[in-house]
Amino acid sequence: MSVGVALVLASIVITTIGAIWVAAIPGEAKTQRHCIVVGAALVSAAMVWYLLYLGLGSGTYPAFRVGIASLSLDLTLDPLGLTYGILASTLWVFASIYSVGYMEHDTKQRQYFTFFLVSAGITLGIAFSGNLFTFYLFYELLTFATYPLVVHSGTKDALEAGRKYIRYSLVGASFILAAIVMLWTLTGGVLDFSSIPAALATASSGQLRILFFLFLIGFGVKAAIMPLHGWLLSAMVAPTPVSALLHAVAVVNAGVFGVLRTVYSVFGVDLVKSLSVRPILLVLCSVTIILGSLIALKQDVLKRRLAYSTISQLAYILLGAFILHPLALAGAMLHMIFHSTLKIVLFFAAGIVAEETGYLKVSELGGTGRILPVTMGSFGIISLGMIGMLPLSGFWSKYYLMRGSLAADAWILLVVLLLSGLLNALYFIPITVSAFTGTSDLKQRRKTKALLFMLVPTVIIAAFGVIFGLYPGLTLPLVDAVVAQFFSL
Amino acid sequence: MALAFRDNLAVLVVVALLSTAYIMPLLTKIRRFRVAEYFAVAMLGLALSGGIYLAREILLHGTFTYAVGGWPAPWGIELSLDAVSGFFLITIGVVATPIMLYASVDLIKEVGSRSRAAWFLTLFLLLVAALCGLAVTGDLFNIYVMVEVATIASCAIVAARNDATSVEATFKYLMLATIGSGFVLLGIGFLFVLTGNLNMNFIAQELSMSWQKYPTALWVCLSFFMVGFGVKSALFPLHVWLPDAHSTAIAPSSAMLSSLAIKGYIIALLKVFYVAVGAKIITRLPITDILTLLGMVAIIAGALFALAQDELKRRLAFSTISQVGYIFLGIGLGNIHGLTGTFMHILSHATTKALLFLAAGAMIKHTGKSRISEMAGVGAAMPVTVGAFAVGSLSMIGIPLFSGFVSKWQLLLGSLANGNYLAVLVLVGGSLLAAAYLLPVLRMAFFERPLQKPVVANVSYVQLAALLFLVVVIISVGVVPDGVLQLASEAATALLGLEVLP
Repeated sequence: MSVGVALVLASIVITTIGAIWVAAIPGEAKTQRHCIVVGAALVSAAMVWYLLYLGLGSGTYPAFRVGIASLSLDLTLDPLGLTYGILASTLWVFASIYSVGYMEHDTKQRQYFTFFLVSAGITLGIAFSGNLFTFYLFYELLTFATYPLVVHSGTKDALEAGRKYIRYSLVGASFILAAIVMLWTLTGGVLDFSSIPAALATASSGQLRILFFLFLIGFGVKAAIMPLHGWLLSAMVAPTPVSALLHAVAVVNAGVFGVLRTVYSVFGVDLVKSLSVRPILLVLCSVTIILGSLIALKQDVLKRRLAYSTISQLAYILLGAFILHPLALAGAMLHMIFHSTLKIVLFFAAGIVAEETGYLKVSELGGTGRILPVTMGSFGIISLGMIGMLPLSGFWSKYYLMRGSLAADAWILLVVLLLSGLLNALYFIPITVSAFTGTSDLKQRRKTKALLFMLVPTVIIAAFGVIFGLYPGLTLPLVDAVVAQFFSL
Repeated sequence: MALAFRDNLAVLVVVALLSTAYIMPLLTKIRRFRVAEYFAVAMLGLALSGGIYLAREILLHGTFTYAVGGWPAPWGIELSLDAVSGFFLITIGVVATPIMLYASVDLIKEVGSRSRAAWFLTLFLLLVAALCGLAVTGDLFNIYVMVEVATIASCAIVAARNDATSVEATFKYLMLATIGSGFVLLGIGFLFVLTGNLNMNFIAQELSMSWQKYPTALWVCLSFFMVGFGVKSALFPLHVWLPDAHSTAIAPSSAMLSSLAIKGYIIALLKVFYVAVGAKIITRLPITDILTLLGMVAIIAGALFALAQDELKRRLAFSTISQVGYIFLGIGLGNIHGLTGTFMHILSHATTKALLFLAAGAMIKHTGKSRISEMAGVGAAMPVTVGAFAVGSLSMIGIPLFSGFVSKWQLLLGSLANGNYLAVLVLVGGSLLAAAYLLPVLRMAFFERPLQKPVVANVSYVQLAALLFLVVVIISVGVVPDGVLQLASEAATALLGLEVLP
């Protein structure tokens, strides 16, 4: 077993061990638990970074396989999976530090952190799965591992949201299962990402279209394509670090990642092109982008506004993927990275505001900038990145998406992107403006002891947003590798 | 020498269990009750290892027969050991042993008195012996005898507690099961008249030459078998006895009946259809289509009924009706994947439903709450038990890594191989409905806020060990299905009369 294989396995196993450890120690041992959680997340992330270093350095990626030939558990690294893995595991470290602060007074910390770590391992499993069966396995497990986090507070609303989440996810997963079975019969038992496109070449285009839409509907649930986005809004009742991590980073990106896998690893660019489904897909994404932004405009609860913004932004990534052009794919990958890093800051900031002031609505935020200058400052700067302003990272992903649309002769998408950017500005900038100019009627700030634990990760990730904006080349090796993986240039 | 041991082992498994059953009352009189219980557990464990050994031999050296009493077929009773027998013997052992272990903890308290508990042991072992007999026999009349023994024993263990509801349920069960036996007997009579034989291999030979002369008679005969075994194995809409019987019995009885007893009749049906009549004939008759259809209706209807139940054990009982539908669907599909799926589902439903009933029994006993809507906070009071219930639920829904997925996967492949897209839809929908009726239990137990502070319940370690044993079986079959899957697909191959595996 090579170092790489060992690391792929270890990065998943270590979080699971951490989770078991957290579950085993008594509920009172707070410090010990916090150390385990942050430590496990950190070690796991370090391993994934080392894998990136190995993979990009040599261009070879290890594979690991167990089980019977037909339905084997198969972990393989490739640039696409690595991108998602790096993103999730890194942000997990920050989210775990943030959680330590946020969950300070929670009574069910043990349950929370157990499932928090389990989800981290499962997300990496999704990233590194080398065949569809393994992908489906981790994808399904992710639903169950994150459910306890969504319903954490145990209130009626939370349980209702959890019910909705499970319903949407399981129905989506059933579509995926049906698609996998259909794929199996079409290819004669080939489920490996590396060999599916070749095995699919003989199928009729009618069958392939059905297959494609089964996958799209299945993954579309977690990717929150309209009209499959209902669960995302209700799931905002979860604790803020969960909303941030799961509903801006891991879970929704798992759906997006699934769509990317479907388009690029299962079907392949040429096959999707030959199916001539592209117009439908692009319309679907454009509608989600515009509608998401429009609805976000009308939301007064901050987390709901962020959720609609997420729905809209995820559609950017899908749009980039569906254009089927190298530049657009680069844009999609960049947007996956940048949207996650930006959106998590916005959620973190919203969480801090809610903890410190108790305010949840946009209309109440006036003047909070003077009480929480660093938090609201980060929020303001990063929301500019979300709109796509230079010199923040969000600009670059949109730049590539636009170049991709032009290169594919789809100038109408340019209009969609610009219009959405404008709408983003309309729903983000007023928040910052009123936070710093308005007056607050806040009598007493709560003065959370653990504020530092929440503030530090927020500021660090916000700094990333600026750094990536100034030096977009930092992410290029990875994005190049992904593009080179699927397009022969 | 080794061969002699192997041949005799087939009959020894049944005989040893039968004799253990009969010495139980005596043993409980002269020794401590615990001793008798552990002796029963040990014998079941031995039966399991015998089953594993036989299955291994069958896989290595092919099928073999054993003439009981030295009388060769067609005059004597012939035991015919093939992959089907091996598979079902393992299933019986793997499920019955932990159930007995679980029952051993508080059996006397559960059934009321020491002498009743002794009889319970006898009946339990008789039931297991009869099921083993069904697994190994190659003779139609022998099947009838074993079916009767199993039926009477199952009726009796439903009534183990001797309270009004369970006696009423038993009476209902007994009446319907007797009608079922009547149909089976009629079917056997028909086959005997048609072929002049009771040995299934001989019947198959006769029928293959002459069946086209009496298509209607064969039709009627097979319908009798379908109805007869259908009543006993609770095929929708012949299931009416099951919910009462399985929900009023004590936990080990429910587990035993739901997981194993009904599977015995399914194995008998499989043998009659695919061994005695033969795959070539059966797949040409519309009877397989009827089974497919009934299976699909059962999956959906059983699950919908389960959704409507608030009492936990009743919900599990209706779930059994739905899951039996999967098994019949596989039989109806009549191709290699469908039958492999049938066998895998016999194993995975047996382990899973036993686990669910045993865990539910512990939850109900220690909290005194039998309704799902009252179960808030039970998860905090008994985390391991409810955790085991969670594993069972996930397996029942068919999540990968648990045994339920393996069987569902085969059934899906079987449906697609027949081009039956409706069955694909039903299978997937059935999983969703299973999620809808099982997950609320977990939500209630783990995540709802309890009204009053939950009492910490101490489930005995022996019972937890029984639950964990089943959990380990479910997960290991789910993660590394190679061995069992091979055996299941050999069994399917044997039934279909195919030569080599594709």
